[in-house]
Amino acid sequence: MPVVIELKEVSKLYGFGNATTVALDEVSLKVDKGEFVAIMGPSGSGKSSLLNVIGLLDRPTHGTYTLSKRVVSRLRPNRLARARRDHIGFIFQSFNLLPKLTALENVALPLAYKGVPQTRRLKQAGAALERVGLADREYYYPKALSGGQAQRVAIARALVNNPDLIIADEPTGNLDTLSSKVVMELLAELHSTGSTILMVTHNPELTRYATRVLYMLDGSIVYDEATKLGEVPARARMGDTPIPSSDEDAQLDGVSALMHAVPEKLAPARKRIAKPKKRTKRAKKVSSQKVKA
Amino acid sequence: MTSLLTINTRMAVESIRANKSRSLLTILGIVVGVASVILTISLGEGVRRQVAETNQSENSQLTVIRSGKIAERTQDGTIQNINYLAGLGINTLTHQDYESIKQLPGTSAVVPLATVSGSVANFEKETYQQAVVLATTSQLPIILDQQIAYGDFFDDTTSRNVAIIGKRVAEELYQENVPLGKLITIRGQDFIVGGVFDEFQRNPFSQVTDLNKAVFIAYPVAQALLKDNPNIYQITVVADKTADPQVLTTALNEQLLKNHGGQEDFSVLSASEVEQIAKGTIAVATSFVAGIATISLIVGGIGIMNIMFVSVTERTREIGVRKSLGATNRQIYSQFLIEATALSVVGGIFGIIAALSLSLLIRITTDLQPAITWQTVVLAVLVSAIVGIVFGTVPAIKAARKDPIESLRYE
Repeated sequence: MPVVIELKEVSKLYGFGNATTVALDEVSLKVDKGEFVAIMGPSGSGKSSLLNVIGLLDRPTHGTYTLSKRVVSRLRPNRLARARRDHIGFIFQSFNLLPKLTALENVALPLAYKGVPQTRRLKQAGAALERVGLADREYYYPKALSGGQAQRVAIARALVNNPDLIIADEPTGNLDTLSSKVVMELLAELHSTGSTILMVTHNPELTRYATRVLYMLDGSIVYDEATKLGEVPARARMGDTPIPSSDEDAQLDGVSALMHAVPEKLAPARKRIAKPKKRTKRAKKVSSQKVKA
Repeated sequence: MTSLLTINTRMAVESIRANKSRSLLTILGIVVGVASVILTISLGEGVRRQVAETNQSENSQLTVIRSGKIAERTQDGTIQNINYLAGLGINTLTHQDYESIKQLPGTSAVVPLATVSGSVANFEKETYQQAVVLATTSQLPIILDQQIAYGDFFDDTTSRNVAIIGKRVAEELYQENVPLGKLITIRGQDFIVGGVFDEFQRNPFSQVTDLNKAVFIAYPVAQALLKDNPNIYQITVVADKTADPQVLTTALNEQLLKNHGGQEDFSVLSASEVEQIAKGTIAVATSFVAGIATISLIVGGIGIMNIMFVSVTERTREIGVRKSLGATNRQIYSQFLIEATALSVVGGIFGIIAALSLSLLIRITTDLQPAITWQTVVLAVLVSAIVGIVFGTVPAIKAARKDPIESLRYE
């Protein structure tokens, strides 16, 4: 399988001097074509930064990012925009359809930025809408669509350009259970027809659609495991509960506390990490400073 | 890219339509600005045309002498460095000038135009404030190419108190068209209305007074009335058919220089030069007023800039979405620039409509005849587009430079 994403020691830092925050800490990642990767992790763990870098909305501070055999980590903003247009499809939690355009026009928008002539643009957009089962909603404005329908329009918009990669940032976060299921089935269908999908989610149940689950914590991918379709890996059941790495530097106050709640299955991991059972306030302070630095 | 241009233009128009009241208030400045610029230009154009009509019918044998040094002459005799204000407010021509020019060879008629101060009243002692009393000689109707509607113009030998009045004077002072033989009091002396002019369609040789509101009396009568010589503001010389106008002009200049002790505080102008100066005066006045009107365009432009800033902030999220879909900075920039320009051009179009209806109103209610040419309309559209581009640029740059991640997070 050809490699779609290849990150090599990618870091993203914000601020400078003492106020520097590490959003991504030398992350290396390889995603093959056709993978459905679910990314989990608590807020602040670097999921968004990772998505922004992979989605070409942001440039990494260090490291190289190769998207479909092309190094894109140092592209100028305009080339970045073009690469985004041609290779990436975004699906957002809040749909982000433009309210003043019809469903069809919304779907056609990426093609407009590409310079596709109007007739062909609308034809392609119509085909994409048909693919998500909304051929009869072409001339509806987003206001007139239900949440699930709106998200399906957004999915049609994401795939109208035949992107190498679809990035979904909590695609079901604003949807009820039924709509969530429809949307996830749709993503699964896209996956089955060969699309590469990267999805951030807080809902462990959704990892059953994924072929691979990543857990992020403090800017690092702490776990990366392949799963079978239809199965929810045990770790995912813990939801956002992060599983810290064996790296002792990554130890946090919260982590050791959390470890008490970790099921016995994970005992080996726990043994390795949870060395100091009780820590002084001073020690806590030191370790938290370390993390900030 | 043309496809994006059309979609952007359409969306701009839609967004203007969606925020009707806001858009309307925003473009009001442009509407007022464009309307006032068009109106001033069209008024100027209308007056210019009226002047142009004058001289088509005018006798090229005419030479006009005015107070003040209005222009300099180059070696080959053409005028330059026109000082439009030179002739205003001063009277350097004298009775002596008039008398001496009459003696010059090659002149068939010398017609002075002099102002006589004093009030004009009818037999019921009702005064007509706007009236102007002018002292002149019998050839005036000929050089003005103007018919007397009723009665006759006085002849040069008259010493009777006869007044020829403009149409407006008849209407205002007597409420009738033919007040022949009625009493008119000028400076306390009684005159008889001897004739009424046809309506003057224009004011030849005179930007100062409306000849329809003038009362004409014979020059010698005015001298007697004032017990002095009236203030001559213009002397019109009709050349003999056989005379060389060039020679006459030189003779006039020499004679006047002699009279004025070598000071060239007068101007000897041919009919075409008078026209040129009149048109120049109108052009200067028009561009001056249009310049003032342009200020309101700038104010309108600032209004557009302001609303575009608001719009950019309100639509931060939209910008983020568009960028995530692959819009380049340039495409976002052009979207907002097109929107600002569309706002401004719509304002311009409304301004044109306002100017057209106002000019119609002016035509109906006044004697002025504003002329809106298609060039003016095109200019107005262009100017409003330029205003949109100029004042839309900064907000558009702000929109284009927005960070996609921040924008997507914007609520």
